[in-house]
Amino acid sequence: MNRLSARSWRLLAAIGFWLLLGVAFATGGTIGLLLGYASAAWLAAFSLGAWRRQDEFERAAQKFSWVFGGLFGLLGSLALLPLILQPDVLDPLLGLIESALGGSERPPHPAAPAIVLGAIWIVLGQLVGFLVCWVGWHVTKQ
Amino acid sequence: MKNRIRTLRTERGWTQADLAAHLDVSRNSVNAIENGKYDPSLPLAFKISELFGLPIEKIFQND
Repeated sequence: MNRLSARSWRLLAAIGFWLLLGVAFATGGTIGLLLGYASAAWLAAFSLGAWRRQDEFERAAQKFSWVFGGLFGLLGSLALLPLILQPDVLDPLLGLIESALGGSERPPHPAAPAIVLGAIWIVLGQLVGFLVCWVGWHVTKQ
Repeated sequence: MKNRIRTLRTERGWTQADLAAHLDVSRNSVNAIENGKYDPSLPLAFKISELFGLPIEKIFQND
């Protein structure tokens, strides 16, 4: 495994994470919750492996992208919050998350879908910001 | 920061990929350093210096 490149580790991190998360949502209940934790642990372990194998140029790109892309992504997601709060947009999204959370033995708290959506919205904004900055970094450094 | 890495590399008949392999970095890193778009860390600068057998100040110059 030590011979795999940083790119391979990143790929394994993403594939394993989404696979485990998908199974977690499909399974639901306590097993689903445990699989959800396992997906996070998988992502963390393989991301760390990828970080340790990449060179300083790529590390600089990722640091820059997380700081500035993460910050502007966060601000962007907050700026777009009024849009997502429109009933036409919000209700279908909350319904989708509510159905995903419905796999557990106990029904979720009424506020749970909104909390989950709030977290996803912020993380999504940061990920988009990261991606834009990361691509921008590589384009401008060529 | 300016540097003579491209000249030193081509004198040895190396491609960017060859130099990247010697330094254990990506080809993108070598390209960015050669173009002055990225300044290497001190440890990497020393590695470059040792590889070409020249003092750092003979390879890197301030703008």
